[in-house]
Order: sequence, then structure tokens, then C-alpha cells
Amino acid sequence: MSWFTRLFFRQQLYDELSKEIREHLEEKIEELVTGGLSRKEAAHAAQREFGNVTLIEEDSREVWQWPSVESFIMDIRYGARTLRKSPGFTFVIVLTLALGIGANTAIFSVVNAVLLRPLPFADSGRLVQLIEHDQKRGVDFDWVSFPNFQDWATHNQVFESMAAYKFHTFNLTNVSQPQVLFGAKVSANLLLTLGAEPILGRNFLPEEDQPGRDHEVILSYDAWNDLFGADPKLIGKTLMLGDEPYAVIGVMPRYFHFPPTVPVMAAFPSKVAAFWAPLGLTVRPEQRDWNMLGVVARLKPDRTLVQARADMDFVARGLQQQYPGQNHDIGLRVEPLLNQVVGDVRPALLIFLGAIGLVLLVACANVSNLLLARSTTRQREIAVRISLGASRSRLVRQLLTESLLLAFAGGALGVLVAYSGTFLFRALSPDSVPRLGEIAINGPVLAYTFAVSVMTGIIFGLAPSLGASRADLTQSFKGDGSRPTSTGKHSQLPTTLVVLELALSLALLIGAGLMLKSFLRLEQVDPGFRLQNLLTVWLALPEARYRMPQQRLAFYEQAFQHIQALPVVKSVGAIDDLPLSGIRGGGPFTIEGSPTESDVSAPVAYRCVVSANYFRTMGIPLVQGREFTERDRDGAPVVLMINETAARRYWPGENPVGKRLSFSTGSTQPTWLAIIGVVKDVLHDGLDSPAKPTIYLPFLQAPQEFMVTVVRTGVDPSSVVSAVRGAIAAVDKDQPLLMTRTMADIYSDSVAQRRFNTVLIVAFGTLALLLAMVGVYGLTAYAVTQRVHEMGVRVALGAQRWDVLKLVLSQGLAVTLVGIGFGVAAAFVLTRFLSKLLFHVPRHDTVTFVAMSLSLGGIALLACYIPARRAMRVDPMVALRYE
Amino acid sequence: MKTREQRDLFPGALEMMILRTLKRQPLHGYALAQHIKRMSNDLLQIEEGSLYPALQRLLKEEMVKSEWGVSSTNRRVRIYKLTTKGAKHLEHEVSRFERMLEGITRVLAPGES
Repeated sequence: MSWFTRLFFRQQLYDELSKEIREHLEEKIEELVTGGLSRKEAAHAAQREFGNVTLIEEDSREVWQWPSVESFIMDIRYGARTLRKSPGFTFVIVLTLALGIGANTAIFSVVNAVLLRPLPFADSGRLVQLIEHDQKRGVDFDWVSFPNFQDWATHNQVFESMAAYKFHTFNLTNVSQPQVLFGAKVSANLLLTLGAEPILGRNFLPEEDQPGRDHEVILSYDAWNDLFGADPKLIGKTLMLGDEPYAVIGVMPRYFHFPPTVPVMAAFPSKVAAFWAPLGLTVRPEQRDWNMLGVVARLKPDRTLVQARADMDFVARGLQQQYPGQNHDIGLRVEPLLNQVVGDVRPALLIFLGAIGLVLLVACANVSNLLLARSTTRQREIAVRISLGASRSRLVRQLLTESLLLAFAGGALGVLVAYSGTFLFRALSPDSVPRLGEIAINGPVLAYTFAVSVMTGIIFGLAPSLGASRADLTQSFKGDGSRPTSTGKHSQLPTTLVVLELALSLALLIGAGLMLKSFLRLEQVDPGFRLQNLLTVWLALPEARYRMPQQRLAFYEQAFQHIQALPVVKSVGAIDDLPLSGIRGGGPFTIEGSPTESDVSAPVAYRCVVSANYFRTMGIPLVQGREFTERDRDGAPVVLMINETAARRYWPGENPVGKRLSFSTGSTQPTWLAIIGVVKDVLHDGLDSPAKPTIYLPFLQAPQEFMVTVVRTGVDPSSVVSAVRGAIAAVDKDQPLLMTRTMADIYSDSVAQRRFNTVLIVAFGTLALLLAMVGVYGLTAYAVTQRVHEMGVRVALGAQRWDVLKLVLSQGLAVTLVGIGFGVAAAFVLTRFLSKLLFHVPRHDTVTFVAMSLSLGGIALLACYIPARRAMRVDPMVALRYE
Repeated sequence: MKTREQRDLFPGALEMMILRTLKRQPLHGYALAQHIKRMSNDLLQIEEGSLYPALQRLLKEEMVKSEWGVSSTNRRVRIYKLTTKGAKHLEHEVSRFERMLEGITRVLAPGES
């Protein structure tokens, strides 16, 4: 018989077996009766001779089974039946687990998408990012100069290829609706380096990097699809980009996004590149300190990251010696591309994963306690099974199967929870988190859910199963079975579990408190300017139409006039690097008359170009000297303003007004520029980052093509958007806006990541608190039901209601205090991981520790009070009648 | 479960005795039990029931086959019969057992060494 037919004929086999055994017993009995015994005696004797009928039948059947698998399936069936019999109990447990496992799955799916999954490029593990690094000051420069990039590419021994890119915006004109395209100018080998190919058309040819040959463009899938209706005939056609003709030569696949959104582009968060055009640069030696390129490279197959770092160190040292003026102290860092993409979110995500793991542990403890409570009511059933010959391991296995069944039900429901959780995460999380679009419930995530479910099932099931299998037979049969016996020694396990819950949730709560306090502190920080009623208008003039500085100047001066003329506008200004937007730039400079050479590192500062009215419009007060005016223009002496931090750091104890500095470091004939005024500091890099030395240049003397216009209004700034748009169209009807945003929104975005981190941790803390309170309530309620009789006796003997209440509460208080003790200790250790996310709050902040402990204690007592009140109302008559 | 097999028999002993008995003549369960008991002079403590798991094992391994028939006492019983495979297995097992027994006996025999 094959195993297959056996499966189907098994029932028949079993029936025959039972019949056979019955016949056997009958025959025996008949024989014994013939021998003179009474029928009853004979039946007993036959049974004795035969042995345990049930067991033997079971053993005989087992011959046909795959014992482990089938008893497992039987356990599952039995478990499912038991759980179905108490739907309320099952529901609570499955729901608790679904929330716990689901939340874990959701967070893991984020971690998996953002941190773990390789970038969607061929063999992406070999891709690295190269970053210029000032060795003396320990600062990274985000960008690399073109001459340095070329030298790195030619002198290194470790990279298969090295490519550069820079962000670029093009105004797409000659179409029905002119618009701004965000994209990148890239070296011709960028796609090759990344291991990506166009799905349509072709890649750049090496010579298309040369100026003059560079008027070609590859479009992203989305741009091709959204703007040109996925027209395959687009290849070879010409687009007007920035008023110049560009031939479309290719379309990239849909998954291809490069550069990924990076912190520098926080101002354009949700934008991914729509096009790639050749860099088309020629090496100009004087631009060696003009940092503007991002650099990626692909390691040769036989080279490691360590070798690459050593090799590039060597290259950097060579360049330092060759160009001591510009490459002074310039080293470089080689980092895996994935790390660069993921950047700052790694610690936060790992903390989320840890925190939600703690929440799950609290949930496990709760479920464990529920099962323990129930296993006392199941003592009778267990006792029957033991006396029927079930071995202890068999019982543990069966009870564990039940736990696993619960865990899997929770896990299955948890996947649904996780699915909505990822939606929520994507909706709430700030756009600056990279790779958000890749979050999905996929194979690895489901595998994780499975593993977590198994682990959860074992964690919460083990203690109750072991406890139950140790059941004391005589005790169990003596009691009425449905109610736990009160004589047996009470297990310490439930109390221990509740202490654990309290401790874990307090640790989480303290973490949440620290985060919340940090965030409140952050919101109190003065950014240095007035946020309200401020509109920002972003635009970039196309190079072709506005090649001459006078043209840019004329455009902006007219635009300012038109905007200023609007009725609700109070004042208009402009800056190239708007504070809080993530855009910054700067470099070293020389102070007149100071010994700048070699031993003292050159001073550095951010450099911003501002219009005359900028400071007034933003509400940044002048401290010393004067502001830029309309007269500080071409032909007049070149002037500068600085902020207070620059004044304090570089002219300590002096009046900087009238002092001179130069940007041409290392040159023998520096152009000296005079400082005419000092303004208050602005927190340029965000509220959590101290003010940096900043030098302001007047727009009229350094007109840029890219400026952010700030408009101070008397009304809600978003209401003037269309008027401002009209004012700009009146100057140049073909000039699209990059975007308009209120300063309040930009401010809000700048704290979005911290707000999100705080909300998430506080939510986890609250969830844990809730679970722990259910645990405390359950424990107390259980203790009260067990002691109803005792309470009755006490009341009958004259105890006051208050005494009963005190009795119950004091027990709850003891548990809570122990929990708080462990919780504070745990928080002391665990907040170490949190310190990176805190702001102006020490990680052992006493106020938070005390406040959270008190809150937890208070709420726990409240949770005890509800069952305690019931104990207080015990009617001695009713309580005693029970026995 | 296999752990509850008769401890005072070595594994396979009961099967061997069943096969040997069936070699003489096909029998049903009860008769088989009585025969083994009688032949062993009640020296072996065997629960009658323990025969059945053993019989199922033999059925599964196709050492015996069974068919329903009527016993001498006019009962519908399942009669077990030795198969060729069973006969071969018995031969093999018996010779193995005898060798083992001989070995054990030699060691246990007094004097000689």
C-alpha cells in the first residue's frame, strides 16, 4: 500500500482495528463466563489482561501515521477546537498579538526597504560614494570640484569606473505648458558605473561629455510617461530645455532613480530626477576649490573598501602636495553608496525597531498571563490527560501548539495590520526619508513575520505550558475543576510577568518623555527670523536667456518692483541659500593682516547672496554698521555683511565693521572686500544645529540665476501666490516657478523628521503603557477573585471596607514599585541608544524619569483600584456561601 | 507510543513470536494471544493488547496479510497469515536471534574462563 492510498483507507483501517479489539474482548469475556465468572467480573478481568484499550488503539493507529506530523496536526485541531470554545479569550489574545506582530512587521518592512535591501543597481554592493573631507576641521564637503574629480578618476587603482553628477533644473519650453524639470547633469559614464541601461534608445557615448557635444538628454520613465504619453517615437526628437535644443536619446527604466533624494535637496523633497544630460565641463584649474559634483564609483571586483580607502588616501595626499593652495588638508572619504543614501535615518529606524520589539515583549507577557490564568481553570482537563497516560513532554507540546496557533492567527491578522501600518508610515513620515516608495510587504518581510510569530508563540507559551504540565493530580481532582484551587502554592510567575511589563513600558515611556521634551525644546528655539506671513518663491533663470549678470539683475529688480507693488505685500527680499531649506554653500577666506599661512587653518564661512531688502523682509535685526542698499551695485566698492557668529569667531573683541577679507585663498594679489555691517544669527541648518559663521554678499554686486524671493505679507501668505505668479509672468512670461511655499511650511518640514520620530516613540510608549495596565488590572482582578472567600471572612470578622481596599492596593503598589525600579534601571541603560535623537535634554534627565515613573505608578494604581473596589464590596454572605 | 512497548521483551521479540506462530497456521488475534501465552507457559508478561500495535506494524511492512473470516467459535474475526516476505524475515530474524542468544549464553556460562 502506498502512503497515498493509506491516507484514504486509513479510516477503514481504524474501524477494523476497533472492531477487532472489541471482538477480542468479547471472546475473552465469553470464555471467562464459561469458566464460571459473572459477566461483570469477566469484563474486568478481560480489560486487565488486555491492558489500556484506548492507549493500545492509539498505538496501533500510530503505526500508520507519520507520528510527529500527525500528532502535530491533531494538536492543531484540538487546539483550534479549544480556542473556538472560548471566543472572547481567543479574540483578546489574537488581537493583542496582531497589534504587536503587525506593528513589528510594519517597522521591519520599513527597515528592510530602507536599510537592508540593496540599491536597485546591478551588483550594488560595489558602488561607493566619494566625499571630500577637510582633515583638519573634520568636516565633510558634500561636493567635489571638477578638477579633483578628474584627478581621482585617472590616478586611482581600485575603481572600475568613477562618475560625477550635479543637480540641475531645466525650464522645459516650447510645449503647451512650460515647466521646470528637476534632473542631473552627469558624466557620460554614470549609467555605466551604476550598471543601468536605458529601456529605450541608448546610453551616452564617452565623447558626449565634451562641451558642444553635450546637447543630449535621457529621460526618466515617469517624465517620458507623464509628459510625452510614453511615445516611443520621442527618441531622436528635440526638446527645448533652458532655451537650448536637446535631443532625446534614451528613456531609463521605471525603477531607476538617481541621484536618490539627498539631504541637500531637502527643499525639493519629493522630486526625483526627470532627466540626465551630459556634464559638458572643461577643466578649469582655478575651479579646483569649486565644489559642485557628487561622485560615485564602482569598485573593481577584486578590491575591497579598505583597499579603496588606502588607495584614495594616497591619491589625495598627492593632490595636497601638488595643489597646496586649494587642496590644503583636503582628504576624501569612501563610503558604500547605500550608507550615503540611507544616511541619517539609520539610527532612528533601528530605535523604532527596538522600541516596537519591547512593545511586543509587553504584549507577550500579557498573553502569557492570560494563558496562565486559563491554565489554572484547565487543571482538571490536564489532570485527566495525565492520568490517561499523556507524558509531560506530550502535554507541553500540545499546549505549545495551542500557543503557536494563537501566535500564527495573530501573525496572519498582523500582516493586515502591518499593511495598513506601512500606509500610515508612508503618509506620516517626512519626505526626507529615502526609499520610502520601496516599502512593501514582500517575501523577506513575511519571513520575518513568520519568525516573529514563532518566537512570540514560544515566548508567551512556554511558561504557561511548563506550569500546566506540572499539575498536581490529586489537587486538581479535589477541586471542582472550573475554579482554581486556593490551597495550592501560588505561582510567582504572573507577578513576575507583570513586573516585566511595567519595567519595559516604563523604559519606553521614559524614552518617549525624553523625545517629547526634546521636541518641545526644539520648537521653542528662535530661528533668528520671523516665520509668519512669509512666502518664498523659488525660480531659476535659464542660462541661455540670462547669460549676462546685467540680464539677471534686470529680471530680479523688475520682479521685486512688481511684487512690491501688490497691495498686501509689505516688503520683498531674496537670498540664494534660504535658511532651513537644506541649501548651503561656502568655503575658506582670508582675513586681511592675519597670519593665515599653514599653521593656522583658514577661516571658513557660509556664503549667501542677498538682496538689499532681505534682512528687513525676514526680520533679521542689524547689530552693527549698515545694511546693503541700492547703491551697493556694480561700480561701487564691493562690500560684505557678516553674522554675529562670524564676528565673534574671527574678530573677537574687535569691531568687524570696516575690516577686510578675501575669498581668493593662496593668491598673492587678493581682492580685499570690506565688511559694512553685522546682523543677528540665523539657524541656517535647522533648529537643532548651531549658527555657523556666515558672510553675506550683495545681490546687486553678485547676481545669481537662482534666487529664492521672500515676500512679507500682511495677510495669509498663501493667498498671494497667484498675484506673485502674475507679477513674475509680467516680467518674463516664459519663466516658470520652481515652487512657492510659505516659510511656516518650510519650518514645519525642517522639524518633520524629529516630529515623526517623537510621535512614533510616544505612540509605542502609550501602547506599551496600555498593555501593561491591562496586565496590572488582570493580575489584580485575578488575585481578587481568588481571594473572595478570604475577603468575605475578613469582612465577617469585622474588617472595614477600607482595610480590604488597602490590602488589595498595597499588593498592587508593591508590584508597581518593583516594576518602576527595574524600569528606571532599564531606561538608564536603554536611553543610551536614544541620545542621538535627543535635543538639549540629557539622556538621564531627572525630571522626565521622575515624571514618567509617577505617571506610570498613578495609572497602575488606578488599574488596581477597579478590581479593588469590587473586593471592597464583597458581601461576606455571598463569599462564604461559595464553599 | 513506542516507549510503552513491553519493557521485558527486546524490540522485535513480539513480532518474531507472532511470525513464528503464524508460520504454523493462520490465526486471528485472540487465538494468537492465547497461543503465545500457552506456549510460553505464562513466563512472559505480555498484555494481550500489545499484540495489536505489533500486528499493525507487521501489516504495514507486509510481513503478514489479513482477511476477515469466521472463527471456530463462530465469530467474525480478522485472520492473519504469513506472507513470503514475512517468512523470509522470520528466518533471518531467528538466525540472528540464535546467534545473539549463543553469544549471550557463552558469556553467561560459568567456569570456562
